[in-house]
Amino acid sequence: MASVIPEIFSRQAAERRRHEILVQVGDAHRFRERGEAYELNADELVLYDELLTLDYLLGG
Amino acid sequence: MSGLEEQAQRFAEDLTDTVRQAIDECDPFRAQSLADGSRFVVEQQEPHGVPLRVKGAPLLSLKIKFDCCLDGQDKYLAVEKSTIKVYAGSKASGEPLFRYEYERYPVGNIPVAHIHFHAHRDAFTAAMVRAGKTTTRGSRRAKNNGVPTMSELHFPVGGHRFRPSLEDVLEMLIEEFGIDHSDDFRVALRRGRKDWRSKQTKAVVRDDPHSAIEALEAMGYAIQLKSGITGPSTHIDRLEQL
Repeated sequence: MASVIPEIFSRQAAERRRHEILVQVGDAHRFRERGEAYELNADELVLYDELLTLDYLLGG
Repeated sequence: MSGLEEQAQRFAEDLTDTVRQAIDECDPFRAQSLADGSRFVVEQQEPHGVPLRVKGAPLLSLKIKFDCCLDGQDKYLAVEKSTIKVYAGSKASGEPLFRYEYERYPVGNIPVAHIHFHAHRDAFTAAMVRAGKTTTRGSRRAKNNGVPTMSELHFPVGGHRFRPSLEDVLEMLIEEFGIDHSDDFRVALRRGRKDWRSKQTKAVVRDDPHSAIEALEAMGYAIQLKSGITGPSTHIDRLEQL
């Protein structure tokens, strides 16, 4: 039986990380458009998936 | 640990065990939340997707994500959105070959559970010619001299009891292709769908009465078998079959 330890973040840490990603990708709007259109390379897709996770957790 | 945290943890552990028992290698799934714990995201740990290999060489990668919250009774873990995406190659990028999705609150009249096929047939063919030979269909495909086609693939859609109905297909054709339809098509199709799913619910209860009893007792019912009647068995094969 696998053992998973839930990862709990403060809201501030999650918002900080989301901000870091958005700065890293540059044009956030264009990045999200490319993500929705499945135009991202492997490393960009990792960031995009993390961004979507943070969006959901932050209620955005 | 809150109720949702505990359920999310168990869910992540179950998913990990499922994948490991199927393909041997898989890092533990992650269960992430904020401190207020009202939402959880459960997903695979590998950032580029779980690698799916043939004789050790990566053929496909799998990305799995569940956006979770508590249900309407604030008691059980509910999935608000789930995606299972299959990509060609060792790292997920660009378009997947296909993706299974579920949305609890979809925007627009789309099926809450659905499949999207992205790939041009050549992308499927490219993966299929490299398929392994450890299963009957894989082996048959490897022996066949012809070019494999997408139409050979069987995509699961719910097994015996949860399969799509004719109403689902008709509504999809009307919504997606604008097929000529009556003014009240939606009412008629929803009525037919409800009848079908009610019948299937009864069939599911007959397949697995013990789970039905457990759910009803949790809701406050007291279930008793009539005297002289032998308790029904579970139709394991119906529950397990793809």
